[in-house]
Amino acid sequence: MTSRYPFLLFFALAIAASWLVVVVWPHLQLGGLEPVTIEETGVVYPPIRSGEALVGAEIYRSLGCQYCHTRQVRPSTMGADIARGWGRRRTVARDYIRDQPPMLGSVRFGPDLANLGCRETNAAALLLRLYKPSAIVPLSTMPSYRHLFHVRPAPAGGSEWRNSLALRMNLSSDQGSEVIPRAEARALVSYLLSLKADELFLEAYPREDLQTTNSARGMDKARALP
Amino acid sequence: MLAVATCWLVVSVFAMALASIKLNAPEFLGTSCFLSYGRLQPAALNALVFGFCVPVGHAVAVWGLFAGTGAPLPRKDVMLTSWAVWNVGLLIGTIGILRGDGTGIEWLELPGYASRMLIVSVLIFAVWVLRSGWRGCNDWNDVRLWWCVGVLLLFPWIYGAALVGSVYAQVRGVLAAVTQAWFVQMLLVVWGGFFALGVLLSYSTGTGAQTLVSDRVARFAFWTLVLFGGVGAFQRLQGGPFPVWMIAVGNASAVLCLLPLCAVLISFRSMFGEQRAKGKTVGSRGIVVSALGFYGLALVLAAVSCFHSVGRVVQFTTYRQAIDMSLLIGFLVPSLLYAIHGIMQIDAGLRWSGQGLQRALFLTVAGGALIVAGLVIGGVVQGVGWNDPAVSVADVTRRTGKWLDMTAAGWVLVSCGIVWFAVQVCMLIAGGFRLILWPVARVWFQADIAEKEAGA
Ligand code: HEC
Repeated sequence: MTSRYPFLLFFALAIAASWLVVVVWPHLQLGGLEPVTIEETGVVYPPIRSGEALVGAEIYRSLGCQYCHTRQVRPSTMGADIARGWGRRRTVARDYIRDQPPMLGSVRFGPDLANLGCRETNAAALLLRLYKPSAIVPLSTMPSYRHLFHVRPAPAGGSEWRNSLALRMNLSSDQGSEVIPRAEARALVSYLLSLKADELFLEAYPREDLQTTNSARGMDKARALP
Repeated sequence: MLAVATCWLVVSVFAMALASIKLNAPEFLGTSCFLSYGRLQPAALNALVFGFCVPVGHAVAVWGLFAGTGAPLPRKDVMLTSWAVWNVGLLIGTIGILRGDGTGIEWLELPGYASRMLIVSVLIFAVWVLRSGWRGCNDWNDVRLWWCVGVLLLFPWIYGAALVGSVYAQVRGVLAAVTQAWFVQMLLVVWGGFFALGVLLSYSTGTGAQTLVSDRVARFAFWTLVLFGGVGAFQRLQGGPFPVWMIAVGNASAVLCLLPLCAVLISFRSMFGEQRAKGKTVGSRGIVVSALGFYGLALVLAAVSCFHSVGRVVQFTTYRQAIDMSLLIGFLVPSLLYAIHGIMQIDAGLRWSGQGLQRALFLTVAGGALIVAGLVIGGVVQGVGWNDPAVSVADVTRRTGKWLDMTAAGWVLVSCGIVWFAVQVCMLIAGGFRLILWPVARVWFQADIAEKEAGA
């Protein structure tokens, strides 16, 4: 019967301390973030995704795209993400307030997708990428998500579904059949198209720019003084 | 007599059943690079962590608490219930992930319906530990007890908190990622640290009546680990959409985590010195050294990546995975295997073929080394590639791929080692232990087969 209670107490306190610092404190800081209205354009950011895109987000989660793709852009001091064209600015916490879960991803086996919707606007190209990644990049390591598509013999009079045409043209091995995306594939693509984190607002301004403007201002002041 | 018998019976059942769970590991591990990577990887990881590491860790800690005192396990039905609930929940959850129900939060993918079962199980377990552990042991000045209790109580805490924080309460946006990082960090660095260091300490000293060399050092390690280990979680978020202070704090504590490491290294050094002075053979030394080596490696890797110049290259590459895998495969799994061996040997009086065990462990460790090396180098290559906008995406993939092949080879080695180990466990059990264990064993065995099918 020695130091049992003090030990347990300290132990609980120590863990609680780490919990407070790591989880509760960020929560206090970031938990209350609200969408912002961009003054110049009147756009509310981040926008509410369409219902289809929300379904797509579920599919993204359930297929585990986030194990190969991140959805976060680092500031240009921290890496070449912006130089690679993955975004106009770094991502900030406010970009994700409508995402549950945020699916940030932690490893980049493939490109970052935070701004996919900005650089890729062609739904058919995305569908093709899901159906047969190797049609775009030979030896692609991205898995094919064929189960999101129907494959059936092409009707004689040509396909009635516009996107399947594009798919068929690119797939020499599947000639004579048409590939129709299922609802899941279309939802996923509409989610991918909705991935945009490019609005500029206070905390999202590139920090480097902020510093230059501030120091420029400081210099102006210094010049104005004498 | 009866009491002690009950004690080891239960514990060996634990050890055996858990050992056979890892029969799953080969399948899980071997295929994790295949087609639906996005589902297999999390399913395998969860099965490994929650199916093997956590329960074996708990079993070992329970053993450490009670075997030392020679007291019978009180209310073992309660403990077994908790254990059964746990495994059923995990089974359901793993299938759920493969079906696409994963939560999408790394390491906490087990879908809500399954993790709820795990939570129930863990709560039962925690209550059991508190109530029985309370009476069981009296000498609270023994630091080894701290480690054991740390292991037992930490997991309920962090698992519950993490699930509430990230899965159930549905905190907004990136906060789920923060909670997740905390959980992984606590689990791997702190829980893993408690467990393996504590157990390795008692094993490497256990054969003789040697006690810890320096109580104070061990205490120091314990508290610094608790304090800094978890806060190091921020370091995982480097480069992410988070305020600067979080990353800075994370970096600082990732470096501070080296403190407990040094403390432990020092105490081990002097321990080995003492053993050598007494002219004792240090059989377990290799495994202790390698496990500690991996733990240290992980902490050092993490600390190094705090430097801006390193961090900007290795962030979001397989480097991060290397740290986790170093802790998981290099450090936790071999020490757990070793602990199982110890428990079965000491309690059941079974004899292991020393060579077989060594080879199995060697394979595991060598595989772990390959995995980690492949991931580290691959991660740096990948990061350099991504950071050079002139390198095309396909090139980055191709360059990284070579190193990932090395990792895959490592996984194959680990699987071999683990199968080997499992075969030995099975043989041991078959050899003469059957009579006592048979009724219980069959139940576990069936559950296990079911789980294996789920994995396949
Ligand atoms: C095994 C890892 C892996 C998984 C899982 C994965 N991808 Fe990919 N992805 C890649 C790689 C690698 C590339 C780079 C191009 C290539 O090799 O095909 C890529 C490229 C892409 C691109 C093109 C990006 C660009 O900048 O043009 C998109 C879009 C994409 N993936 C979407 C997805 C979606 C959606 C999922 C989930 C259904 C997914 N990926 C799952 C590895 C993966």
